Amino acid sequence: MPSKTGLAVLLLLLFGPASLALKLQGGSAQLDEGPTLPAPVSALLVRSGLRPVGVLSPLNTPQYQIALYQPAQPAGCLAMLHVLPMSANGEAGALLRQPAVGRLGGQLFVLRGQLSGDFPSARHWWFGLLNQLRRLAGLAVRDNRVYAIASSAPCLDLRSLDWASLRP
Amino acid sequence: MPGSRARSGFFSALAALAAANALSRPLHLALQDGDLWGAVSQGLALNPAVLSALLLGLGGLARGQDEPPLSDADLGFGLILLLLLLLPSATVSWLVLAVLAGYLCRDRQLSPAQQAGAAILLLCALREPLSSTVLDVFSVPLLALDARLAALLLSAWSPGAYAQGNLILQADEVRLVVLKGCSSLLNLSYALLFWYAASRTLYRRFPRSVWYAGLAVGGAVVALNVLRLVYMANSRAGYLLLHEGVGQYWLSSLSLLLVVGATCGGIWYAEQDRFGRAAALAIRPG
Repeated sequence: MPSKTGLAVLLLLLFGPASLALKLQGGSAQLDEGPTLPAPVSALLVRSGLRPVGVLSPLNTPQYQIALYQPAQPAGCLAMLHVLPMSANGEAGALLRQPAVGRLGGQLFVLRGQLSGDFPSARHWWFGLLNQLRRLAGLAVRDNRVYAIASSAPCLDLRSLDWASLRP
Repeated sequence: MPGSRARSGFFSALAALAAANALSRPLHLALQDGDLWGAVSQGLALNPAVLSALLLGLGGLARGQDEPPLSDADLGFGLILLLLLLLPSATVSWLVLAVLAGYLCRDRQLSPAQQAGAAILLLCALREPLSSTVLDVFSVPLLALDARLAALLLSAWSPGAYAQGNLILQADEVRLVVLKGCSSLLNLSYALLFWYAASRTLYRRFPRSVWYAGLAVGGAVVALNVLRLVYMANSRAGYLLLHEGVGQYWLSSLSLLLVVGATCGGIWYAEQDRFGRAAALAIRPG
């Protein structure tokens, strides 16, 4: 029967290299929070009769880029749709209100397919907190991107788009 | 076997293993490019404050005196922590280190040096999950505060500058967006960790001058960070120098110098108060 010291050394030798090897092999639990719109969102916009016309980078960081979309209908509607993906903690919350982006009309924020009129709301904060707890537990975080959308003219009704289809 | 160092050796090795697990991923990524010199010159993705705190904490933990032998409870507790370390999460590894350090902090049989080591490791391990949680959940007000301070200073020689949320604007033009990596809180957490680790290694109860040094460290780090934001917001050249260029190394070095200087200054004055100038010149941890 090994002594307790021997047992302690054995445990360290057994678990030490294994735990390090698992860390080095493990992937990241973080979501890619890049500036581009994910495929389901751009597909939704195209399905709703919008076409991409470019990307706006109004800030000194490539992290926040605004995707620009224009509607084909109704005819004569010269509205521009601005979509900004950002993390649910709202680092870029004030961005769409900036004159550099354009003086826009109403804004909506979409979190996991649900619309809200203000940001950050209690729901966004709660969602960010839950994701942080998942991150601490080593679990993969849920889609914590918020889509800030704004239309430059009232002829483009933001609520008419099928945002609920984004819900996982 | 009374008098052996098995218990402190086991817990020190366990703490070192938890720290290695927490740091292994960024270290691996830093070395992955194959540019060893480049990785070393950037500190191997290890923050000097975290590294210093770990070394001081582990060094203290290993200095056991007249300790009891390893018990079944110690081994069982260690086994649970080792099993938790198998989870592929750096955050869990920090939390394992925090639980171990917290367990040791409550142990009355530890020597003063070991108690100091455990307290330093506890703070070091909690810094990472706590600061990231606070920054994630309260990023809006924290970043807005940084932006407001920087805009206030910028407006002194560049009229019309103002902050809106985490943005610094001037004449309806965005000059700078303050993101989490630029936050004063993040820099402050590293600086205060170093101050605490160095001070706790020497003192169980901090003398007044050490507390003042802590205030100086905090003030210097926040002031330097706000100055950095102002300089970056002021011009494109300033932004490129401090964000992308050699300026960020100068600033990091200056920050490190201020933090180490203020911490050592506080300790120096505390030693002078206690024993006079001759003793202050021969400071030894104890």
